[in-house]
Amino acid sequence: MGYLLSFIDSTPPRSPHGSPEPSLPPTRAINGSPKSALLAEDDASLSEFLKRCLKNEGYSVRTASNSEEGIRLYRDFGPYNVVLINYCIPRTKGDGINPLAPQTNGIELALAIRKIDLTQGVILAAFAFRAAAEVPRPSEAMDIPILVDCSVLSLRGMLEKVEIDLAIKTLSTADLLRLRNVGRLLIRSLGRAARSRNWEDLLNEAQCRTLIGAGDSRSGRHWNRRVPFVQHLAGAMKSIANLWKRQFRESEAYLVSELTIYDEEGQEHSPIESVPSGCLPADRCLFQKDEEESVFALFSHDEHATRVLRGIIDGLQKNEIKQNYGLDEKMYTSAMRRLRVRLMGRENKGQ
Amino acid sequence: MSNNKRSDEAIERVLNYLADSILYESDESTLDEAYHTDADPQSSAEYTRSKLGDVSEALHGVNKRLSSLGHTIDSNWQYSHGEYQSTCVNCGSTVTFRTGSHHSQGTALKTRCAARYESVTSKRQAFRK
Repeated sequence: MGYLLSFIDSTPPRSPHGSPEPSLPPTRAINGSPKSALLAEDDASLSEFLKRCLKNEGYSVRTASNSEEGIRLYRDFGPYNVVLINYCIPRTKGDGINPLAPQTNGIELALAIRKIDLTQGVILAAFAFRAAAEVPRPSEAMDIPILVDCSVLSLRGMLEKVEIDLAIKTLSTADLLRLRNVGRLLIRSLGRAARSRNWEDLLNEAQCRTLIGAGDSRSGRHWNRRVPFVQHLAGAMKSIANLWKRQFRESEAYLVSELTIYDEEGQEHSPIESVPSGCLPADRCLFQKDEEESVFALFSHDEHATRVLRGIIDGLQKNEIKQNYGLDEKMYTSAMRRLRVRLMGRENKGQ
Repeated sequence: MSNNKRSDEAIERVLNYLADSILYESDESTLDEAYHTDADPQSSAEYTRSKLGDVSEALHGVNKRLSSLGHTIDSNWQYSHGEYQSTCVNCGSTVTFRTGSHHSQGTALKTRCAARYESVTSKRQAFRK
C-alpha cells in the first residue's frame, strides 16, 4: 500500500503525483479491524470513565470485571491494540478485594496475556498508588507501564507510548525499507548541512522526538494515531531535516578557499564574482549549482529521467510532468525508480 | 534573483520529491527496488527495526531507573541542542537524555527522590508515635 507523506505540523499533505490520493485507512490495528482495547476493571464508575476515555481515543472497547473474564476475552478476541488492567482486579465474579492482602490478580492477568502474545501492549492502572515505584510487582513485570494518575492526559500519553512500541514491532519489511530510503534521500538533500550525520541519525532524532517530545508542541513530534506510523516518522524526518538545514544556514558559511578554482595556468579565480546579486549567499548558490549539474550529468544518457528531473525542478506535479514532457505512466514510473536508485546510491552492507 | 533561488532549491526539491514518492510505492515495488539499492534488503530492514528498538530501549531504561528511584518526571521535557531535559516534580532533581548517543545523566538517575523519601519517613515516624 502507498502512504501520504506530510509534515507533522498538520500542513495539508500534498501528493507529489499531483492527483488526489485515496483516503487513508484508519490507524492500522494489529488484527485488521479498527483499534481495539480490552479493559479489565471491576469498579463500575471507573470502568465507565476509562471506557469513555478509550472510545474518545478511537478504540472499540471490550470490558471484563475480573481477571478470569479478562483472559477469556483475550483468548477469544485478542490481540488488542492495548490492554488496560486494574492492578487490584478480583480473580472471579463475586470475589471481594481484601485491602490488607497483597494484590496480584492484575499482575497475573498482565503476565498471562503477555505469555500468549509477548508483543501485546499492556498498561496497569494502579490508582491507589502515588508513583509507579511504589507498586509491588515481580521483575518480569517491571517493564509494564503503570498508570497512577487517573487523568485523560496521562492515559493518552501512555496509550501513545504503548502504541508506538507496538507500531515499531509490527512495521513491515517494506515499511522499514521506506523509512530507510526516505532518510537516505533527505540526508543527501542536506548536503553539508548534514554535518556528517546519516539517515540513522535522522531516524533516531525523529523517533526520540516522537517518544519524549509528545508533550512539547515546539520540539516534539506528536504522533496523530490516525496517520500510519511509517508516514508519521517519514514526516518527522522531513521536518527535522528542514530544521537542520535552517540551523546550518544561520550559522555556517563556506570558506573562500573551498570555492576558489584554478585554471590550467594556475591562475586563481573566485567564482563568487560570477554570481549575480540576489537574496541568497553567493557561496551557497555556487555549491547548489555544481550539485545540480552533477545530478544532470548522472542522467545525461537517460532522456526520460532528465525530463522528469526538469519537471520536478520546475515545480510540476506528476500529471503535468507526464503531459508536458510526453511521458506515459510506465515511462514516468520507471524514470522515477531510476532517479531514486541512482541518487540514493547503493549500500553494500546490511547497514 | 529568481535564477539564484531556483538553483539553491533545485536539488533539494528533487530529493524531497523522490523521498515523498517512496511512500506511494506499493510494497512489492518497494521490495523490488530495494534489491537495486541494498545488498540484502531483508537484513537492511531488520537493521532499521533494531535502530528504532534501540531508542525505545534506551528511553525505557531511563524511565525504569527514574521510576525505581521514586521520581515523577514532568512530562513536558525541554529540548535544546540535541538534548532533552526534565525535572522531578517532587524533588526538582534533573535528568537529561541526548538524542544522538542515547546518553542519559542527572541527579535524578543517581539519587532517590528526596521529597518522596522524606514523606514516607515522616509518615512512619508519626505512625510509631
